[in-house]
Amino acid sequence: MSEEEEDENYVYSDEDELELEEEEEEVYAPPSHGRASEEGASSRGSTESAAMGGKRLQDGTYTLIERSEVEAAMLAKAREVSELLEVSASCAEVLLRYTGWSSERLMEQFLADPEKVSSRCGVDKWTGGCEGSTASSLDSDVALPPAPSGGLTCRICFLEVPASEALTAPCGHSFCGECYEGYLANKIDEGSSCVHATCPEDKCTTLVPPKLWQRALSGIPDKLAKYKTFRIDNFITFSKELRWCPAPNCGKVVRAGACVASVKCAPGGCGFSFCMKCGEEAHQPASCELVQQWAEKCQNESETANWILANTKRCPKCQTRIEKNQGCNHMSCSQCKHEFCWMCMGDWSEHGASTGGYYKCNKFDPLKATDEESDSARAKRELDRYLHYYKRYHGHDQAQKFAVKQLEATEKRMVELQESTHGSWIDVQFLKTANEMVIDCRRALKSTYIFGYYLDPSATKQRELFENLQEHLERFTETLSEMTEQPLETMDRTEVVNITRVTESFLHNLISGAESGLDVVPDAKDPTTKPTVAAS
Amino acid sequence: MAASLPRRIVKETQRLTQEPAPGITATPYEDNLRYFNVLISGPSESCYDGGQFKLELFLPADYPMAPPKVRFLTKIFHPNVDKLGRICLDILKDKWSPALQIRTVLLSIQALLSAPNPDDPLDNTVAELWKTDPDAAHAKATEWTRTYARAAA
Repeated sequence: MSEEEEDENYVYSDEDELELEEEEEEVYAPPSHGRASEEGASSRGSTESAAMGGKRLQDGTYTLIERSEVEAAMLAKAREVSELLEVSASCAEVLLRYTGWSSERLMEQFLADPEKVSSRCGVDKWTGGCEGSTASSLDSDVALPPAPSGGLTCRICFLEVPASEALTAPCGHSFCGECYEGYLANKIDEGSSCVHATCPEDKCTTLVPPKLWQRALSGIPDKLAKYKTFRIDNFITFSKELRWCPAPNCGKVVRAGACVASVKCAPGGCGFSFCMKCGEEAHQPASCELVQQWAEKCQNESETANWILANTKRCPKCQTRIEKNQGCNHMSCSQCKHEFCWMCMGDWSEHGASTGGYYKCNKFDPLKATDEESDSARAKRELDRYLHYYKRYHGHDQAQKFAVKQLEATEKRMVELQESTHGSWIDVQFLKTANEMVIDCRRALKSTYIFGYYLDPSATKQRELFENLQEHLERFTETLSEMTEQPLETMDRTEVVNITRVTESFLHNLISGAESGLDVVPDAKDPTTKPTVAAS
Repeated sequence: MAASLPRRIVKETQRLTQEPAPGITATPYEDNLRYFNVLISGPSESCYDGGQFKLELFLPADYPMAPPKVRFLTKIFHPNVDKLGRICLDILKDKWSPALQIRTVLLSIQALLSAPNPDDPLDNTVAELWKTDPDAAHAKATEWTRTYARAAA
């Protein structure tokens, strides 16, 4: 499948093929391609893409989508599968859920043994064909059998009810409407698993179809809405190309093409950057695995680390307690005016390139360590090494938080600057761009310390290269951070724009450099890592 | 009778006392009609034969949408019952259906006494013995039944 299809909506490259090994369903072709050519790729229709802005996302691109669009995409996907398998659309939705929304896997399993898959999914008794799929929603295309004429004794509340008040699932089991309502409302309270609710009858595996949900819960529309939400949530959670923005109270959904590593919830979103693969905050250049390892490690060691790294530091000259409340690492003691680096507590004068000093802040000095030492000394050294990285990780993390807070002030400053210079809104955008660049750099720098911590100690050359890149980025980030905090009168727009651009290119260099060939060893023989206790 | 008690519980209680299932009695507490004292006789031809097992059964507020809570009060040597008397039975958990009743639950527990399931154990040491040395396990279950579940008690 290496040929490239010449289609305006669709480019199929070798990269895709690699991706397909794990993610079988990601690539879509427009339905006009027909549904059954020889390739496995044939059945990929672009109905989903069509519903979301008309064209398939190129590799490496992503968009923010609205909830309503997600629903439309889910409908489109279900309908597409419904046509192929000749089942109702709501049945297709259930079947897709079974294979984690992978139409490829569903196709394979369903065609191999339709009865087995249907009964596994609890839809074997559902009737109603795909003609229902022309309806505007998935909620009305399954036929419900009539309640027994003459009424029944509900097996839940033991009351006699007339047929008109009874509800019957496709399996033929009837209960009174009130009990059905209570039953399904209770399922919704149990959470997202409600989408798998079966008929209340003992041992009955027939899934309650959407139409029945709608009838039973017509009296409590907010519960019914919740049911719908859970269905859409299921689609988002299990579709590989969709992901919720993990920022608190955001609620936006990002849809990304293949090979997208990290995405930013913007424009129109909250601006949070996160990893499409693991859902954590964006962490290039470190990999998802390393970030997880690091988080675990930090959790284990945090007591010690917190104890050692109290919230404040003393001024190295006058010993006044200092709390850092601005983003930049260039500190000026308010008492004695001593200037120093917050990271290494050394004189700031040794840090600037202009003074000929050497910015050593990002390096752990292995000279301190010798080979002839006891286990405890080695453990101590390992802890020191960890603390070295943790301190810097933590430092950038804090600085990132400050920079995020600073954004608000920046907005105000932009208005101020615009008023004082009578410029246009676009003219003052550079302030925001610079501030955002600082945030991006802080986040990346944070990850560089995870990356650095797990970098193979024997790979001296790689380490040197990496630390060099890191050091440059750190220096420019500090400069830029400091610049964005300057009073407006002394601010030089051209300089800020330049430094922003230079910093950006350093950021890209670092990430692409790290991704293109620095090897990382897993954290196997780490004496300070405590064994994790398996949950029982 | 408490006015808030759902009709279903009232009916179930009536039926339980009027036409009890063989070998099973369930009586609600007078001051809490959702709380039942249960006695199950050990099924004949099982190691629990001749024993009278006391259980407690409680109907939570969302019953019958949620399953009743049941626990052995009498000490019993059984792979699906732990030291605290908790029972490993699917219908008491995820396989619960509101169409089930107190009666069906208790009958299932009685059936569990006839047919222990050491492959889905709650108490691992008991289940282990049940699988490796069934004779010893049965002997122990019989002995415990004689010691702790005497019909006269």
